Amino acid sequence: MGESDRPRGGPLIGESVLRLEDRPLLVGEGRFLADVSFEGELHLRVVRSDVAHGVLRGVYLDDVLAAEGVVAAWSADEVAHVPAIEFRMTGFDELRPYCQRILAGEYVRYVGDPVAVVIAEDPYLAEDAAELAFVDIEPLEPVMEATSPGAPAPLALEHEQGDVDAAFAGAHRIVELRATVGRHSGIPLETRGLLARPVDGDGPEGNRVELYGIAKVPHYNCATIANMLDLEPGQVIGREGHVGGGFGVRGELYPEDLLVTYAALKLGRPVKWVEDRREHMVAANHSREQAYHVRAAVDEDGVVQAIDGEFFHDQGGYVRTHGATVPNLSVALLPGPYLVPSYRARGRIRLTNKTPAGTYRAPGRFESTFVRERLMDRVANEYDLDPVEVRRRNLIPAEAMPFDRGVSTLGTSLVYDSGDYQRLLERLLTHIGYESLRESLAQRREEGEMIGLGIGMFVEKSGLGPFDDVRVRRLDDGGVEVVTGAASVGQGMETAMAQICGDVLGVDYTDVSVRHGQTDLIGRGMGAFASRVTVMTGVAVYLAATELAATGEPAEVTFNTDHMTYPYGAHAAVVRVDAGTGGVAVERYIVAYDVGRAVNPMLVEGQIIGGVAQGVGGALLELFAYDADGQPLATSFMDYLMPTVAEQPPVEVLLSEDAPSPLNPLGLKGAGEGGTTACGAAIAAAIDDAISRPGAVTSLPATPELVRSLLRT
Amino acid sequence: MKPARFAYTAPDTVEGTLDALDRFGDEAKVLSGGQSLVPMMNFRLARPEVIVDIGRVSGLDGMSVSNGTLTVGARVVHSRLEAPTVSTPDGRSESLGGVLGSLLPVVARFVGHLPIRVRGTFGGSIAHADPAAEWCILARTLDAEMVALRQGGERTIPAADFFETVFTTALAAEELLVAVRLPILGEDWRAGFCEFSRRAGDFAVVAAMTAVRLEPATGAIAEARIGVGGVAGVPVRLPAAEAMLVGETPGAGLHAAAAEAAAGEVDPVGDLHGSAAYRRDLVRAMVARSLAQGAGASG
Repeated sequence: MGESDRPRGGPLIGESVLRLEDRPLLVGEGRFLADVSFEGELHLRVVRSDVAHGVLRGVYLDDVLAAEGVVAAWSADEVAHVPAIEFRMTGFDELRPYCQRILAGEYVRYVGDPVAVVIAEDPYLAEDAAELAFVDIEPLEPVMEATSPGAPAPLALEHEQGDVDAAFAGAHRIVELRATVGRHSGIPLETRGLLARPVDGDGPEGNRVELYGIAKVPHYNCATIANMLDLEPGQVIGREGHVGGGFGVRGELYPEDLLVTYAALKLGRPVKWVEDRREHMVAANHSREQAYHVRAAVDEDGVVQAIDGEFFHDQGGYVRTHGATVPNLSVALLPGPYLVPSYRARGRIRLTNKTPAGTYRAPGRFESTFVRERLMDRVANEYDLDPVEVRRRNLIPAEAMPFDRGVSTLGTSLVYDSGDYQRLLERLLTHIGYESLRESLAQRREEGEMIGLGIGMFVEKSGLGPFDDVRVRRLDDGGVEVVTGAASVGQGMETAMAQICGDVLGVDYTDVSVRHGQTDLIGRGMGAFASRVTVMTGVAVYLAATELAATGEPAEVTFNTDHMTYPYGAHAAVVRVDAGTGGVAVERYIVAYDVGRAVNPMLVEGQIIGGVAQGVGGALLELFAYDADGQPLATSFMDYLMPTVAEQPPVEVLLSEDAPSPLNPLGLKGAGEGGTTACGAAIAAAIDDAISRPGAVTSLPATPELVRSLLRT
Repeated sequence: MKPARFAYTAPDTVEGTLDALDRFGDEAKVLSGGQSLVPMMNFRLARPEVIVDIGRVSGLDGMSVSNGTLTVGARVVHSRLEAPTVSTPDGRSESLGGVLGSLLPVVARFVGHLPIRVRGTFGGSIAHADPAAEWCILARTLDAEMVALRQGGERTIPAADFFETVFTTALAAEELLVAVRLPILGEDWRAGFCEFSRRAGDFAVVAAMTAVRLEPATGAIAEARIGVGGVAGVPVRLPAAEAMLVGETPGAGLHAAAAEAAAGEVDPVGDLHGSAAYRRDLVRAMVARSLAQGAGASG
């Protein structure tokens, strides 16, 4: 049904209505951070270390302070009273010594480490003046590999369940794999940035500071900034505007957020910082870099009885807000959709002299799915079984749901809430015409093409609690207002929330206004991450709207949960390899994904297609490379290669609603990450198939040079 | 990523430009389409004191043919070479035919992305002298001549002498590149161009252009040119591989042998986008494909 002939007042959940968010963006009314400015604002520029590891002998700012337009310049001494940035998630005492101060004091630990700030009347003058800072660094030997003996090793995450040793002792065959995933990350179109504006207040909190450019977790960030700068919680107000993409990276609390807020309060003027792209490449969280060694104990039927795995997690120079989130998720979700009765994993967190790492769309899952699916492909090859057949033999059956994985992650016990993995796999195979596709590809290989098919399966996680608050009230004009502490990073949450609210109240979704990311409108909020908003905020909206419908009064509800929901998927890739160059072209890409229930199928498809683009980037192109001295080699879009529309394959989405979540009244699961999760796995398998070398691709990105080298062996 | 301070002047005429270049010398940098210079300034990799913007100078964006030579004005934008037209003496405009007329669109398609092709200029690319730039490879392979003006003088610089090293040419600070002359390649020529880049629109990791002239009577190769970019500080010709072709009849075996020789003849330096060994592999593949493309064009 077209948008124009959609009946008003009809059901809205499940309808692919157009986005409420799009109109302002399309007519040029977008208000991203760089669009916001206030009279008298100053501009902040960060002076960063250009040495990967060294003793900071001194930072000399005399020439900076004498430069035109400069209002202030500070190094670490000025902010020595501000503590290091704490963990937002998955904190461990062992990691605390590695938290980052807002300006480096004694040592620098990566190229990009902030050592000073310059505040000037104009961003050009600020950048000019920042060049005049003399930063005296005595270089030390950098640690560039997480597997190096010299890498600080604060913590290993250990997990063991079942009798792993017995399974290996009794194994029919042991299948082993070493595999690595390259360092890459989310590169939102809008870089980071913050504008802090002091405002006089006569209320009990007195003076306040408003933060524009805040994203993802506004309540958390404002409260934390207040705490770190010795302010009352209500004195720091988050004013979320339009956000040009998050992907895990944008919106975490970084040194710059504190530096900008501190400067605004100290100078009593609005202070603005807009990260430039080169800064983003060295300063915003990197992700993904893990090196695995896994072994599977396999019985005579090709059923994996145990996995024993170890991996090194390259954390970079500091541990930031995510703490051990990424390796924690790697450990928890490595077994994925398969039974694997016994499982042991050790995730070794290592510090290196690179940009600190955090989460990126499908954190820990892109990596562990690549490794697990490569392992399953290796089992298939060693048992001379079809890769699909091996998966069929190992999948958790639908009857076993809910399935307690026996591991905990992000403070919750990991219980797959619902799913029919086999059915989704068969649906994917039917869609692609698996047998005939295999035959036609074999025929093309006979004729000299290098063309192949790869499949990857996975379980995702979504809907992280523990709570979400929502207020709903009717407005005098007949509309409805929803107030939430969630955030928009561009994913379409306003539309989805308005659909749920409108569906319950029988009003059109265009008459629902969704207010989010304004910390003075609602006492607390969890923000937008971990594919949580549609589930958590969505259910809270549903409950509040239901209460309003029953009572006629404004409603305020809290939705609490102790468990996440677990969407699941299967990817298939058809790729063509150029034998002469090793170049890989993705000819066809299919994602089957079960989200329980889709509030807006069009938005879910958009999430998946965008997710595939980022997965293709990680599988084939994107890499934050460093030289031996710790100098980053990819600091612009000439060297950090994101897929363009020419590299992005057409994506066929099979959206499935077989397994509504039993954990919430709408059956919702999140949809934000499943487009990315198995891209590395499926593309690697397809390359193997194309070049007729089973198991050849064991590292990502599968660059043309790497593929070409595989052809030579 | 904001440029360092610079002064800006935008003369209306060639004479005014030459005057400015004479006055500012090494401190000046000519701005044409700005597709390389402006990003380099934003990264502060380039810090010219004075920008001399030639965007308002008329008379530098013509294309014409005379005496077997195509003259391309320095300010002709890349996209115009996707469907090249030339001015005739009587003031009409007609498509550029022939072998060069077929080759230019093949090459132009690889220059950046459309937004770059509609702003960036042919002369800007030549003067910037990126060793992997398509037009530099073309100029070197076809022995183009660069026409440079300075106050009170003009000189013509052969491509072999023009490209000195990465981003460095024989142009003096006071000189303005105003046009490039290319041989139109008679009907007995066969030319091809192949490029490998990581993504569509990126600078080539390796690109190769080949052009061979056939003896009409025998079909044997009378003259051969192989030019490669991405393997040295400038686009290079490969005389040993060229010599292997001369006197032979085009065919898959010959092309493979010449490509092998080409791979052995280059001496690349590895970087982030390809090791030396990999670049040799790419030279082999690109030269073989370019020769095959040229042979295919002959029917």
